[in-house]
Amino acid sequence: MTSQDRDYEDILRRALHAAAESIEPAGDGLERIRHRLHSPRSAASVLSGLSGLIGWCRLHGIRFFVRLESATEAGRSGLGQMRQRLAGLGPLPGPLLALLGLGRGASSKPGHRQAVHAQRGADRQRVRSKTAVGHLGPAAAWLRPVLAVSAVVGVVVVGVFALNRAQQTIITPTNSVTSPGGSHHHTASTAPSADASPGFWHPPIGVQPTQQVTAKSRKKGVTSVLPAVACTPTPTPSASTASPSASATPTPTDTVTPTPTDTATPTPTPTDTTVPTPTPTDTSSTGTGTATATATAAAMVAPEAAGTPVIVRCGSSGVATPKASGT
Amino acid sequence: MAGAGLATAPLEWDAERAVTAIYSEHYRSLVRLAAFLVRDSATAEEVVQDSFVAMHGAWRRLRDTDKALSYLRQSVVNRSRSVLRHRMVVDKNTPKPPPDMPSAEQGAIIQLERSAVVSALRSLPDRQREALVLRYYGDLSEAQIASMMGISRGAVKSHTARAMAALRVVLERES
Repeated sequence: MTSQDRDYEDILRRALHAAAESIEPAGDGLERIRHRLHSPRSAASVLSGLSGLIGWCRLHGIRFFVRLESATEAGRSGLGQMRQRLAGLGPLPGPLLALLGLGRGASSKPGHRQAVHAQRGADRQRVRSKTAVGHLGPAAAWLRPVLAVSAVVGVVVVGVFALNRAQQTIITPTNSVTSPGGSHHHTASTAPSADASPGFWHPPIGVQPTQQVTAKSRKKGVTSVLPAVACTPTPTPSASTASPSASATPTPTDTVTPTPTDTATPTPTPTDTTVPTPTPTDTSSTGTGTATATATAAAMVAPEAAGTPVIVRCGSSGVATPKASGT
Repeated sequence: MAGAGLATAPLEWDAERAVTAIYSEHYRSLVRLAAFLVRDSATAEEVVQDSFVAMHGAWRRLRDTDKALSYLRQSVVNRSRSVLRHRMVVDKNTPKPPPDMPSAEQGAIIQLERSAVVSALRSLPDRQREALVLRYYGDLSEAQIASMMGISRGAVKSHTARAMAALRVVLERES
């Protein structure tokens, strides 16, 4: 390198640095970079990523097929060598010959066998000299990429479908809050009721069910009976004379049991036929505590079967339920 | 899941910090390098910002400031080539404006063409200009330029020698 060349190099270096000094980038470069980093990916970038993934899968699919084919070729050649060795050993049992495909070769003449082996060797050499794509014929040139792309698309579709299913499973709400057979049933299982039968909803201890016919159902003529439950947190002092069993089982009163005047149409039919249905009899006179309790329980099965929610009212302003006084 | 969050959090933090650190040190020089290549300072900024975003995404592989700087330079060169390629296609298909009405891009180029050397540099082919800018502005070695341009060291030498000869001819003609 001559001194003149070095002079030119120095001139060029100084000129480039001087020209670069005049270029001053904007001050908000870092903010713009951060904005790009935290902004959601655009559809174009997603598509480009997807196309890159497809290309990668295609490339590796082709490599896999090529390796598979070479491995198959190696296996075939190994099998051929084994055949040759076994044929040189002498006569073999029939099943082993059939397994190795030597049946025809063993029965043929030695000259013919040599000719077949020579032909096979030439075929193998021809196949090895060809590429893997050429071995399958001209259709393989487009068949393999199509197979690879379709496999990738299938995987993506299955993945998206599975993801959607998983999301739906997670998001599905549970509606067991007002279900009579849900949490209430669990608390009722501890109630010391003699008539408790599985599948029935029982009020918890200290809760006395009442039966009401709503105004809407009367207008519509629907005989839906909504069991209203009034919560009595603590037993009232007036019920101090009553025994615990008597206070736990709801006693028949005029306001609690369905009277014939209130329910002109038949009362809700229970799903379980073993439980007696509450008959519209005059229970105010001779009804026993157990019978009416069963009737009330049966009446409360109907909303469970119909899927109507239970109204639970708590507090002193709830439905006035007459307390069992043991009389 | 908590373990995965702990494992990825430092990595993200490193990428953010690397972007900030490399930006404060090298952003200006990278923009100037890109401006020499694409002949437009606004496009140069876009190119460098894209390269920073790409570096942030590739930080998991880089994990080193030196490697990141090399990655950034190569990304700037590659993206500048893409810009020039795209611009060539656009220029081919759009009608050219009248000569007495300079475009915004030309206005930015005028800023660069203050010196005769830079205007002579502009007349060089893209590869030769790249080699000269990386050699005499970026102060990179022939091996670094070769790896950045994706060519051999001999090709770098040849591009540089031809570019210097052409530059000398232009400068002698003008002087």
